[in-house]
Amino acid sequence: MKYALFSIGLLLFTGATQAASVNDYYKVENIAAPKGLDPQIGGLTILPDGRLAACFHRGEVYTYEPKTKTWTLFADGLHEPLGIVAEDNHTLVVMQRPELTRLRDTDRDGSADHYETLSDRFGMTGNYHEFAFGPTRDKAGNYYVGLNLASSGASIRPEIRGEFRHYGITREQFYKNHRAGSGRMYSATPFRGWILKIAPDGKTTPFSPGFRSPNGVNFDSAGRLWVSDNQGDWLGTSKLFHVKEGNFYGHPASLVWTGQWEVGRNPLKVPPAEFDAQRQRAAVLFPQGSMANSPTQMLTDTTDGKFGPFAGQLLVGEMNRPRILRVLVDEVAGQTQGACLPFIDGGGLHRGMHRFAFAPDGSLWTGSTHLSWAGGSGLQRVTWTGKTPMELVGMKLTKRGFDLTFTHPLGNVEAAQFEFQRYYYKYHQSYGSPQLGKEAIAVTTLEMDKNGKTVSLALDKLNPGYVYQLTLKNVTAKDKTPALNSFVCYTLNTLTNGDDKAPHLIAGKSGGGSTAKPVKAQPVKLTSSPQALDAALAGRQGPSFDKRNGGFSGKGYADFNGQSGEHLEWIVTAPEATTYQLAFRYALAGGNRPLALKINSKVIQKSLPFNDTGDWTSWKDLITEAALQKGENQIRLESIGASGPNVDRLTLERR
Amino acid sequence: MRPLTLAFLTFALSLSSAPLKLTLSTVPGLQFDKPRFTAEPGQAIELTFKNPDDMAHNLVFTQPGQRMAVVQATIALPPDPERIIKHPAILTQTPTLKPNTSAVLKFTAPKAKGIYPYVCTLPGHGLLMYGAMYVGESMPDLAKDNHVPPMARAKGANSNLHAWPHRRPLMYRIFMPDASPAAIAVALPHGVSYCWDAGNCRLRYAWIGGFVDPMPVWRGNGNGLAKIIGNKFWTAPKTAPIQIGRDPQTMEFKGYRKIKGHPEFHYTLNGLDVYEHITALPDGTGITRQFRIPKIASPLRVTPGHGEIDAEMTNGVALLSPNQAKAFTITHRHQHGK
Repeated sequence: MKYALFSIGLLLFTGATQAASVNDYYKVENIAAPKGLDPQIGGLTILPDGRLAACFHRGEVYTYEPKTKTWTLFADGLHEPLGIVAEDNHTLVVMQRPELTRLRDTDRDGSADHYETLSDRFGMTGNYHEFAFGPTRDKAGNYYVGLNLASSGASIRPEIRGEFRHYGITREQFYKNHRAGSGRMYSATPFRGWILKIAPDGKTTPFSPGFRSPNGVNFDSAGRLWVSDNQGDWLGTSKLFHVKEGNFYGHPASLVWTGQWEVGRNPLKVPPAEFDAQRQRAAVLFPQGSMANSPTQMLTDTTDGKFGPFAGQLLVGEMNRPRILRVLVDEVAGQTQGACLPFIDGGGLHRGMHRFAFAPDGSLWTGSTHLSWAGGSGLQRVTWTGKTPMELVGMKLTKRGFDLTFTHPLGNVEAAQFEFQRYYYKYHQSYGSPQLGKEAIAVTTLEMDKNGKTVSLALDKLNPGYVYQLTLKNVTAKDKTPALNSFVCYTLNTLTNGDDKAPHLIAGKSGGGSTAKPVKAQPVKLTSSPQALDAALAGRQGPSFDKRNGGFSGKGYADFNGQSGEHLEWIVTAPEATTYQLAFRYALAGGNRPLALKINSKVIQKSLPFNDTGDWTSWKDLITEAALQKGENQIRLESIGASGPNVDRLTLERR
Repeated sequence: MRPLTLAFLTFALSLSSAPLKLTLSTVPGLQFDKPRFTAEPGQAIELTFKNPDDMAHNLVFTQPGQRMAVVQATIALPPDPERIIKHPAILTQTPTLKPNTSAVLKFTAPKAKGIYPYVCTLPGHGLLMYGAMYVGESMPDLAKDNHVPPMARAKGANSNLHAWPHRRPLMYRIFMPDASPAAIAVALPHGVSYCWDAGNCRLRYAWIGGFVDPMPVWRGNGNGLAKIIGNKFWTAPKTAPIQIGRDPQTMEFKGYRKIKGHPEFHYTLNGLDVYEHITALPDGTGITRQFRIPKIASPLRVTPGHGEIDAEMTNGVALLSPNQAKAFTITHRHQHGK
């Protein structure tokens, strides 16, 4: 016993002498703000001439010349600006609560004289939680902004901007008791909970719904649009989404503005399975409490090594801790997912790491805010010392586990030093989710590559729909330098074979989904065109197979049972990537029973309109088009709240 | 030990106090240039009261807490600018001074410590135009001093809100009462302020006094409304001030450009560009709205709504020819301005 204690003591001691301090690698410097300014920073950007521009809580925009340490007031009087982008040395575009505004210094005196409204084509109820984030800009010059939902912590003002619509509740009823029907976060006016696309001339297009509090809206250097969102109702934990036009990202309040939503239908009364069938999962989950509680801006390290060994990687801010995170993006079977880990943790960093910009010399400007929540304030500058920390730089999913790549060759390691756990967060209406299904996952084999920097691990269990949390146990470089950060979380949505099925993410009873055992699809090679595929060939989760109603072809038809979350899936191998006509033969005695069409897990049509055919024995074709990839394709019909028709067959014809 | 020291200090100061000489001036917008000053108990005071304003004012010192009582008592009096008011709560007073005149008031500060108000008692002025003489009392922070007018208090408060000294014009886009969430508050010189609403492209109201207390919005998470400091003197009627083409008018807010710090708002009504530039009247008695509609080709209906317009009015509506409509002005004055 005594001996054991002694050895632990020794271990701690040796650990302490060699402990890596973040400040050995990165220096954090505080930059004094103008006296009298509330230095809560809403946005940061670099001007082409190298000056910094920052917008602040009380509506000021200042430029900062680092050479002379001079602040110059550029604009003031803005309403809670939370993002800024430079168009040139004299033109800045700012997202403020009511609008996206272009600030122009037309007389070149160093301050804006023209405040041009680029777009205010969205609603405002005056609810405090309706923050407006962004902008970020694509290569064509279009801006993207994120609009927060309103919070049930407050009602709406007597006067609002934009249409009022609230799940069938009248405005008078809403004023009497907004909590009665609002849900925790609500979208009572367009387009709260959306990402909007705004062209340089102000043309405004709703881009994608499903957000709660999208603080970070940023393109990376690869042209991917990333949006961070905050733990809350419908968000088991904070998330990072890879966002594409038209997709739905999980918080249903915003769906009332899709144009397809039945007016008066209350999203809170729809089974979660219906939304789950439509939503895109987050590429990266930030476990609440350990990784991040409120993620903020994303920024690609574009310094080409001037900021350390992480060129091309994505940095993400966090409000609650003095922390900047890194994201290791992994493309798996065409899907974007990946890992997150602390990058700079402490070291003099403020809390409330809200906005970032790289200076031309490769140092990182950081701006903090709090807006009365956890956070901080002020401008800081982070500089790399030139020393390379022992850090994880790559985490890639393999068929059997993960390949981990480090900055330095590893010392001797064994499997037990890579401690994995997995858990998942439930997708449901409640606020947050506990870590469910938590279990330790054993590393079964470990292989080191030739240069000693990459270790391949095989895991005992590898399934989609889990966070794989890795703790490095005394993993060091060859020269005994310990890893600077040893806590990593990989979000596994999709396996390398494309399997992304994760039924455990939905609440147990989800709108009546059938408990019938799933049936596997029989894969089919496409050898002719057109080629008919019987329902009997399709995999099924929920629908039963039947032949009671006459007029069908082949062996019978699939009969949807529950309202939501059921699917029918054909697996076909296409000889080449091309567009196909898809004809679904179906019967429906009355009403409309739309289904979602997904191909290779991607939503192709959110709502295929299966309208009534007049009788269960009257069969019709519903025709649509879609691109198939070369090789295997999964063509899936999913129920989205209205059950589904009887489906007889799918006919594929090359276009 | 401490009380004794303090008492001694006070005694020493009153012994050494020389006569207090000071100047107090009027400022357009119903203000005195000094919202407060200190005097020792029993100190001789020689006060030069100047009135460079373009309207008449007087200066009346009252007993502590009696400002409003004196103001109320004078409201009922017939107008007589030369008259001296008789009221038991009045310490001393000047006669009414015409514009660009001055007077010297010699008196002795009361022996009793206290905060003695001074005020202009001309009709309507007393609500805003006042200050405080601190006799043997220490002054609190100006931002928290309830003995000075709201505008002076706001000056004290605003000095801490930004990295620049107090200034007018000053503009905030901020949540305001009685407006849409896309409201804009603007402080003009001479103590005049207004709320313009980018949510429906029109002026909503104007007030005189201080500007706004923005802290209910800025302090927390933004759930509050800015608080108006001063008195509203004009509120927009329901009818839109100008009508172009058919109803419903489509409105689009286009932003503003700053002219000497004053915004000129730009918006479209049924697709036609409208510009509105609002300035304070030089004497601080109200605001002027300069409209420009460069491309208008049809007659324009204007509803000034308790405002003045240089055009013939029928039932509160002026019909402007296309040429008149290219540039016209509406003025709103507060009732005591004339």
